[in-house]
Amino acid sequence: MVYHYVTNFFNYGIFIYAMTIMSAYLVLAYVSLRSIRNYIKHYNNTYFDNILRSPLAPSISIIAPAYNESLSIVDNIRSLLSLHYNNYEIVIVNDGSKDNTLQRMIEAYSLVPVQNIVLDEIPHKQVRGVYESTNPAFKKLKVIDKENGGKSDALNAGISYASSELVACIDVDCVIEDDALLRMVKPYLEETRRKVVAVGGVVRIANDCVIRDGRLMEVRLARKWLPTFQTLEYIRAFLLGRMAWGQLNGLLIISGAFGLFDRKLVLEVGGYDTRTVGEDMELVVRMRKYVADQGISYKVAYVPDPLCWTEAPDTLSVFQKQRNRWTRGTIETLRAHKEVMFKRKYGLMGMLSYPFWLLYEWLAPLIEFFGLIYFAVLACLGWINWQHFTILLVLVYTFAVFISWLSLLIEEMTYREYSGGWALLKLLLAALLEPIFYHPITVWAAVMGNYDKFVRKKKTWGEQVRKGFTSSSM
Amino acid sequence: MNDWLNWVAPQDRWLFWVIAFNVLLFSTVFIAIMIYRSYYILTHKRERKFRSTLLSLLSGALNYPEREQHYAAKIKKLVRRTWQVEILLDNLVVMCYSFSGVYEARSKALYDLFNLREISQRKLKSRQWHEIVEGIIELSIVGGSNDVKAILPLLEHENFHVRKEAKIAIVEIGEVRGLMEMEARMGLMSRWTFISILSILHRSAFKLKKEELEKLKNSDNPAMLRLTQHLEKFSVAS
Repeated sequence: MVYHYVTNFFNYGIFIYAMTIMSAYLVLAYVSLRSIRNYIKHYNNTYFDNILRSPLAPSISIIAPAYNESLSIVDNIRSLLSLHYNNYEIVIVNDGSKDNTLQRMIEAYSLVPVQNIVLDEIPHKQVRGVYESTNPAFKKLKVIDKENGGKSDALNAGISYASSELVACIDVDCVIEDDALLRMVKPYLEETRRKVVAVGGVVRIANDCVIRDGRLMEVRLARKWLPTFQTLEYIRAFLLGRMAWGQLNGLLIISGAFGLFDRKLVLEVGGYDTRTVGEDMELVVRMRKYVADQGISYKVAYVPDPLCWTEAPDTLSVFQKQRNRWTRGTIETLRAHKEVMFKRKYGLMGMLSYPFWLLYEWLAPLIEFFGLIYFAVLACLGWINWQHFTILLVLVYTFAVFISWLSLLIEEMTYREYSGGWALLKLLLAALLEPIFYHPITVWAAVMGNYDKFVRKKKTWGEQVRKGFTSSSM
Repeated sequence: MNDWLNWVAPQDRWLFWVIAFNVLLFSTVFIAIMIYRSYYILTHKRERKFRSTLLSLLSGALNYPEREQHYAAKIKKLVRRTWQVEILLDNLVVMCYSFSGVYEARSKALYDLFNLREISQRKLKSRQWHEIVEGIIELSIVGGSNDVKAILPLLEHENFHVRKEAKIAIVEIGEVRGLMEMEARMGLMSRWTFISILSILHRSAFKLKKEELEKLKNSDNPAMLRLTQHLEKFSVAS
């Protein structure tokens, strides 16, 4: 009798959970499809020249923390210097690199120390020096050399130094499209009724793409399967998930690789939190809370154009460390802002986004993992209804494939970055294999993230191993 | 109907139908992907070939005006379908807009020669907002001051993008007259529109008369007042 109650409770509980998550994804898919069609129609009719030529275009400071980037820093800065925008500066923050990152920049860009610079807007680790170039061609470039304090601390130092209206926080080793700033600034300029506090862009996987002198020359799908699965995942997350949340004004996260923020507002909320490893999400939630508390009508906008290309982990160990960190970051943000949940004052963030993130982004891997353990126990006891189990498995699998293929259809209708036939077939195949091979890895990494956070109390970023982009010949 | 499902427990039969629905959905999506990709492959090659031929003929027409009739006849023979006309329009807009305006006069002449103004003006009456925006942009770049009248009613269009582009276009082609016509109908003005209008004014040679500037300064519209603060430098004594 007890066995019936217990198993029914878990069976129905997990089943209802699965049904709600699938329904939620269907709704997000529908919202995304509608909004991206409208966006693409407008995309083809946008001329940026008036903004490009105008000194009245909002000033932007690109803040890029650099740590041990000596191999690629010169090329990365060169590509940032050639972005198509009138009114911007680049602030590279050398975060206590142990290699010769700073020296390479000094030599390549004729940097000299600048005196009497006080950076005290947001607290950060001590600054050892600020450099500017003697060459007028590089007058947009500024370099801050400081003691190591982590990415958030470096960003805070950069934001403190910046003098622009907007700040674009990027990863220095990402490849940014030439017109990225124009596209990202557009929501700020077009909105008349609400305050745009931040704009998020799309990050795509650059593994095996042809990159030359820090510029993307040709898009190719990664050769290895691990980055290929991540490519599919990023397409699904950005074109389906974030597009829908952006349209609903419920976006909780802007990618740390490329985001544009209102500098004044970032200063008012105190900048990035250096105590969390999920600083990108935490800042957005804090900014949204702050503005909502002031009673201001606001928007966190989203631009679905592929504007930023980054290297994805191509080994299992690095990948798991990354996902572990993402999970810990999510937990830290959700815990830090739990008062937001179900509060009408915070609008869609409180009533929908936060609960969704809590229930489906954080809890889903845990429920899946413990559901697997529960299943294993029942199987040992001989209490499994195999027919029912198989039907549920097939249901979840077919739905997962549908959602992935739907995101590929949206990609095909819109940007079609992977125009090669084999790339498309490989991505379609990846969608079939993902639930079997890739998804369990992400679940395990998320479970370990929870373990590291709650049991081992881990706080650090861990070592980020990047291979960097190698120039490929055409 | 459910006889063939007898082997499935009754409480699970509805799940079977949900699975069947999922399979139908992803099969439909797969077919749609294949259709889109096939269409892209088939049209891409054809379009590329057409564009290449069109560009060389346009280049001849723009660079050798003495042989305009010869190239125009070839282009008329080449451009027959609607999609080809759209590509011709696009290219003329780009030619007019780019290369620091070197080809502006020639592009506008060709635009009139091929009767493309009718197509742009027809777009203004479309029910699709993005087509209206396309038409506005075409008229603002390759059109002339006579097109202001057609664009003016769009200042009150329900779609924000249409209103925005209409405001910019009216200043682009209407200059002073356009600005004065808009005075009472500006509505809300985004920073995009504001910067675009001022950017256009910086580039162009027209001047506001003192009385025109005074009229704008006395406008009831806050957006126009904001713009007027920057217009002093464009005015001349009457």
